Parts: sequence; structure tokens; C-alpha cells
Amino acid sequence: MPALNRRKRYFIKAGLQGKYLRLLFLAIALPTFLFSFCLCYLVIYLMAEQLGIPESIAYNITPVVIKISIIIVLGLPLVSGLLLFWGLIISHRIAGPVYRLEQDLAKIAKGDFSLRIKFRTKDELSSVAEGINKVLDKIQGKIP
Amino acid sequence: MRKWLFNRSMALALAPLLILATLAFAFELPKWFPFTTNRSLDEWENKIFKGKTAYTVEADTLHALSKSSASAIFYKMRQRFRAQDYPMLSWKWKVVRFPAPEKLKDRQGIERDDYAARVYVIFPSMFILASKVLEYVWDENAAEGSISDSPYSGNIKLIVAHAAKSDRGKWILETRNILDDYRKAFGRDPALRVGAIALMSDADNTGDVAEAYFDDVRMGYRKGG
Repeated sequence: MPALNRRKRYFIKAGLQGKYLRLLFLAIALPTFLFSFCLCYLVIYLMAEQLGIPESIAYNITPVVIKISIIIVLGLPLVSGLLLFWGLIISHRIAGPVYRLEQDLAKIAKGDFSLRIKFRTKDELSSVAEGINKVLDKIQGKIP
Repeated sequence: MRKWLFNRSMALALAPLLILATLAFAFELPKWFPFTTNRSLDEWENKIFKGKTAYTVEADTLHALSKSSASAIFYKMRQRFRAQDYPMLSWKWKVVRFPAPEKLKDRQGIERDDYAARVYVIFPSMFILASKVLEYVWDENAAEGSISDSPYSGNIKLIVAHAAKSDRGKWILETRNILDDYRKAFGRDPALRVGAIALMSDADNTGDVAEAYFDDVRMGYRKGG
């Protein structure tokens, strides 16, 4: 990727990207929490049913619960951080082109028909940019 | 019209089942365990902690012999009940051999957790570790009536139901009000229902032998009932 094309700001449209990241986080975290809770509950319940003796339950299950809690406390911020960073990159590939479109369309509206919209290779909405560029080509061909 | 008739027929068909289920629950209490035949143990489950204590029916009593082991027999109520409604519990027990008293004297915590005879009353919770337990023990090294936390969990309360050394080899009848004991142990009324009872003899921590008998376990009745 050329140096000029490298991303400098990851939060181009904070509102749009924020919504996307919140949705992404919830879509991952809620089912994960729900599924993990149900699975842990089932395993611990079955263990407790088998053990029966209260001391045995406390002796065997308490360490398991503590270990699970430590894994969640240490693992969740790490996993969430990685997922949110990944989400930020994805959201930037949408928000960046939207921002660029807004800027370039404003210039075109002011009469700059020589302008052509350029996106990064991995950005979304490239086909929209191509379409606008073709319209601009035709407009320029008709203008004497 | 047809739907109404169908619903009515279903209700009429289900009504006897509901009545039978209610009666089955009503007849389970008070629950009495006389240990008269070997089949008396069929409704009890073995729960092993460390090694297996031998539970057998001998001369119309339950005999428990632990050789460096800790396992219990466990009865799960078909329908849990409120201690506020049926607070009484009674049983007879006899300890023939205590697990090495000289070893237990100087020990603390889990290492001291061997008792020739225990009776558990379990109040199960949806969150297993939040379950509450009253544990009646025969402890010749503690003061009778004393209540303490189990070394395993603060939700398990050890109540010394009997302590007299001179009563070794004698049948002792214990009658407890589990509601009163719960209030003394936890400082409030039970929010959970009684869901199980268990009996245990263990000598795993001392690596010794413990031997006890149980009989006439009766639970889920009112005072004077």
C-alpha cells in the first residue's frame, strides 16, 4: 500500500462506526455469555448431582468456579480488545468510503466534473465509486 | 364448540392426575426410614467423596463402616418442602468407634473434618454453591450445641448434636427443629426448601476407622406430629 494511502485516522465517522462496533460487540458477547453460562451451569449442576455430599461439592466445584472466573476476567478484555480492533478496521472500510463520497460529491456538486472518486483496494462501496466515475465521464463528454 | 369440548375433556382427564400428584406429595411427608430390610437402601443413592464407606442394613438398623473413607448415602426428596411448614427431624444413632480421637484433637480445618456419624439436611439452590446445609454431627471433642462453619464452605453449618463420650455404644434419639437450628446457624429464616437428607460416617482425614449405626430417621413433620 502506498505511504499516502495508509490510514491515519481510524475514526472517520465516529457515529456510524460506534454503532457498528456496539452491534458487533453485543452480537458476539451476548450469545457467548448466554451459551457459556448455560454450559457452565449444566456441567456444574451435573457435577453437583453426582457428588451429592456438600463438602465434596464445595471441595470440587469451588476451584472450578474460581478458575472459570479468572479465565473470564483475564480473557474477556483481551478477546474483546482484539474483536473491537478487528471491528474498527472493518468499520473503517465502510465509514472511510462514505466520508470520501460525501467530500467528493460536495466538490462535484460545486461543478468540479474532472474529479474522480478513488477508494482503497479493500474498501467497500468501490462499485458505487466506479458508477459515479462513469456518470462523470459521460457528463464530461457532453460538456463542450 | 368442538374445541371447547376437547379442552373440557382434557381438563377432566388431567384433573385426576393432578390430584394423584398432590396426594403423592402429601403422603411423602412425614418421611420415615426404618431400615428394616436390605431394600430399605434402594431409595438412597451412594455419594462418594474419598473411598467408599460400607452402608448395610443389619438387625433392622443402618450400619456404617468407614475405613479411611468418606462416602454418604443420599435421599433426594421427590418434592422439596418448607422447613417453616414441617420443621421436625429425628433419628437414632449409635457410635461404636470414633475416628482416632487423639489425631483429631490437635487438628484444624479440613484435616479435622472426620466424624463417626453425621446427618445432613440440604437446602438446594439453583446456584449450587449457594445451597445451604445443616450438618448434625456427633463430636466427642466439641461442646454439644455448638455451631460452626464447615472448613469447606460458610454455607455448610456444623451443629454438634451430640458430644457425650460416655454415650459411645449407646443408642441415642435426637430430635431437632431444623427451622430453629437454621435460624441459629444462618441468622435468618430459610429462603430455600429442604431438598435432600444424607447420612455419613467418615474417617478419611485420619486414615482410621469409624463405625456407627443409624435408625428411625424421620423428617418433614410438625412438632407433636
